[in-house]
Amino acid sequence: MNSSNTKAKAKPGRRIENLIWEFKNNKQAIFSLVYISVILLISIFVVFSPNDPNAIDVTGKLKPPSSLHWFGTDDMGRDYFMRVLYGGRVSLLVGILAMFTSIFIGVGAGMASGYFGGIIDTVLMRFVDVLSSIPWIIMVMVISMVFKKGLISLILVIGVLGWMEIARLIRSEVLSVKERDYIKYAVFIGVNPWRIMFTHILPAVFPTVITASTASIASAIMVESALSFLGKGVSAPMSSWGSLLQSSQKFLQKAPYMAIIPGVFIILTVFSFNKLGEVVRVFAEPRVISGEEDV
Amino acid sequence: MSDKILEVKSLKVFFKSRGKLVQAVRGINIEVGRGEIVGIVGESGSGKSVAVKAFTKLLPENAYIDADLIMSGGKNLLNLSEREYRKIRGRDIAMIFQDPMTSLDPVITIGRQLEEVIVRNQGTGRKQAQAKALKMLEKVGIPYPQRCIKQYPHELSGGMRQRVLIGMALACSPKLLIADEPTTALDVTIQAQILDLIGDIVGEYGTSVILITHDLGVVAQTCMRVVVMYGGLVMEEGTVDEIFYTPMHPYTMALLKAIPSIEMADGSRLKSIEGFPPSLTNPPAGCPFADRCSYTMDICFKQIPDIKKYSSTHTSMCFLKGEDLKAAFAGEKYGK
Amino acid sequence: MENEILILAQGLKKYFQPRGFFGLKNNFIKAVDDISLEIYKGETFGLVGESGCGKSTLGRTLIRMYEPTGGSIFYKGEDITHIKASQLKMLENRFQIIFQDPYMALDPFWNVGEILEEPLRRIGMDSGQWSNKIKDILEKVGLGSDDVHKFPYEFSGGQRQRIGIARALAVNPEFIMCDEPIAALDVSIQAQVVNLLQDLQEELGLTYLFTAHDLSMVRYISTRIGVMYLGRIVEKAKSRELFKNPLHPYTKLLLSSIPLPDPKNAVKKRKFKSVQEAALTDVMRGCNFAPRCEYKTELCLCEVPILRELEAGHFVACHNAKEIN
Repeated sequence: MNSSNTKAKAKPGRRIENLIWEFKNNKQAIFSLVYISVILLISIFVVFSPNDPNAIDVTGKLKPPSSLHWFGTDDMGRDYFMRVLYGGRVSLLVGILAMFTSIFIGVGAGMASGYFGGIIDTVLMRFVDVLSSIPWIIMVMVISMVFKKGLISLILVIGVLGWMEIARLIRSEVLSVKERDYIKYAVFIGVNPWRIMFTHILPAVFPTVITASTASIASAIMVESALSFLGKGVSAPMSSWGSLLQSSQKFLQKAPYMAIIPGVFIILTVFSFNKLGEVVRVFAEPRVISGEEDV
Repeated sequence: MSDKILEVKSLKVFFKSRGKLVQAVRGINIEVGRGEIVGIVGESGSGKSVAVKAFTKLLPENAYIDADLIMSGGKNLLNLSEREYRKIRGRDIAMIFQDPMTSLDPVITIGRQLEEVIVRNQGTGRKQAQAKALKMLEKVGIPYPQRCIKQYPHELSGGMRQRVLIGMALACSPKLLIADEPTTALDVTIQAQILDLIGDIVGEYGTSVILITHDLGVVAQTCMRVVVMYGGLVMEEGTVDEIFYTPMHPYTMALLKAIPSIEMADGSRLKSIEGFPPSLTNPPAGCPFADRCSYTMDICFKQIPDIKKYSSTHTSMCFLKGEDLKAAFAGEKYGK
Repeated sequence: MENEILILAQGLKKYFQPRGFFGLKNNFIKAVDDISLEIYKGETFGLVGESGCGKSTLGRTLIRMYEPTGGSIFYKGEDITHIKASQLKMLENRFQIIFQDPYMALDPFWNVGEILEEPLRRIGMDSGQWSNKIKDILEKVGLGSDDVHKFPYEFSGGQRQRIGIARALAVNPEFIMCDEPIAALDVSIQAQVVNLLQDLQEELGLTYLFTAHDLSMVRYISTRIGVMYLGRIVEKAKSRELFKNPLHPYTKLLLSSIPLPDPKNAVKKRKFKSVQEAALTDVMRGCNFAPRCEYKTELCLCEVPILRELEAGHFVACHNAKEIN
């Protein structure tokens, strides 16, 4: 990439160009983007729909999918399509907010640990080791028993216990970034450490943060599903994909679609977020991704 | 130069990257005779490394090779399957790289790695392979070969590792050794030793060597013939004496003037080449050096010059006539 | 050359202590071991030596980028060895650094303007004056004022090095440590950068410490040269003198190893044995070069030679320098 710039005009849009290229040439990425946008839009606007996900119809229990009820009905005759849409709302909300919580703590701890090193690093990392050595699901369950059951505490529990991997990742990234000459220069001329962290180090680890956050949404959705499946997540009549999956257990034989549909949604969403994270990384990477690097 | 170890005709290499076409090598001819050390000099982006990787098919997936002919040892390498190629690599053509650490497996002892190469390529037994490994290490000047075969790569210094790699490359007595910047990562004193070693090997085994480097000093001290590359094309080619004493291309001249010589008078200035190398995604229509050349004419920007022959070994790609170049260069002082 | 000493180091030491397994302390790495050195105002002091000899560490310790382990550093006669961080600010304007790798030296997320503003902000220049100052220094290093909005990846290696030089110049420094500034550049670009550095030195009266492993370039740019081997300076002399009349066996080895761009002038076969290079951590009581030296005596193995002035202005640290030459 040494020679292309002889007469290069200022091209601030190069990163966007790369991103567009990446999307154009990656069908899975396009699918993920479309899928997530649609799911997000539906989740936001589904409340304006006249149909009530909690409307009980005792005459039409466990009806298979039909033109009237696209995804069939559940054991109380509720329209499963609406329940899945509302369930997605909860799952995504939990996923995204828990992600923000984990990212906030994880990036903060990782940066502090990596940048300051020494005693701060030792204390934080040993704390991370201890937290991650306790089986995760048990930890979440115990805590969720102590806390009041509810959406907020569910988000906090998932978020607060999901930051350790992120912290480790960010820490190792910071350790390598810290050795770059431009950071050494900033330290040398006496720039305030906080300024260095926010203006130099944070942008450099940002690609990692993006990948970590999409992965974190995905894992939060999984954990929420797992918790709801075990009956420790959202409580009726509110539903999430996980809780739908859980209540479908009893009817696996009679109404397998009740398990399959939320299951497929969970898988697709988790996949899409992970895929999107991979692609968006291209945008955050500063280096030009062009073939001339190889020459 | 009766028999040719390698003959390449109009080699082109492209990379496709994100929809863009990068023209790394734009049609070059190279010949290597038996027992000859040919230096390929050029700056980064000149295509020198890519060109030789094309002979050995060691290019990444997105590379496209186009050539009229790549002949080695009587075989046209263009027609070979990947399997047949694997036999050629290592046995007929061996390669060593800039960073010896990445070419060695860090968790296997030096001895094992050498033996494996010998067993695989020569089909000898372990015992013989071991003896041969020891002999090779001794040959490349490793002080305690007995100890060395039990060591792991990280226990050796950079120079020692490069020696091991040379030993490994020579273990199967290849006809051609390609050395891609073999001394760039090494210190001067070690560089000198490695270059001596390469010279000795040619004398002893008759192996031909292609030495890729950006250091004109290395070329002058080691090579017999020099190929000067720039912007994916061969600018000038000749014996070392021809290139260093009667250069026939403005780029070669400019390069020679840009390096300070030990005997340079105090207070004199280096002659720098202004400007930057051409883009490879959008190479200029004319001579790639035209932009930076001090002798440009209109035609230089319009078409790529023909190759002019000055002697049986000396060719150059420039629109200027030989006598004009000689006159222009007459007053130039450089190097020595 | 003016004879005012700008920077004086006495018995300077910088040891690193790598942490081994389980935080066990390993042996010290003596990157800079008992070095005394003076740098005159307006000169270019060249430091040569092989990788790992500590030349970069020495330079960085001199400008107080690193905290010295021992010894003292004086700047214009003032002791700055243990100066506090708050006072260091004064030095930062005076001392600057240019790095080897132009790809790592600039923050890829910042445009040229932001990169150059960083030191300006530190010296508390009024932000209204920034754009003029930046235009001014960009012009000095041969870049255009429309480059301000470009990002480092839009430049080639040589141009990036110019941006690095511009950043160092932004605060009107007195002393610049050039840490292998041309090692990563192509031959045709090296000359551009070296010429630029010389122009700037003439124009602004700068003092350079120039480290490199390319001896011919150091010879060309330096007023005086120090040759380092494993943490110590083994020879120090005027540049021309050192190349004409090297006294230390290591300097001789170095000089004979330079591949000259002159095929007829073939180097004589080098006589130095290919002994495994000694590591910095090796406990050695004597001369560090002794294991590779063909002139070594008993004395070399047990006593560290000190830097002696053998000829006027020509210092060498070798017990047998007189006998060898």
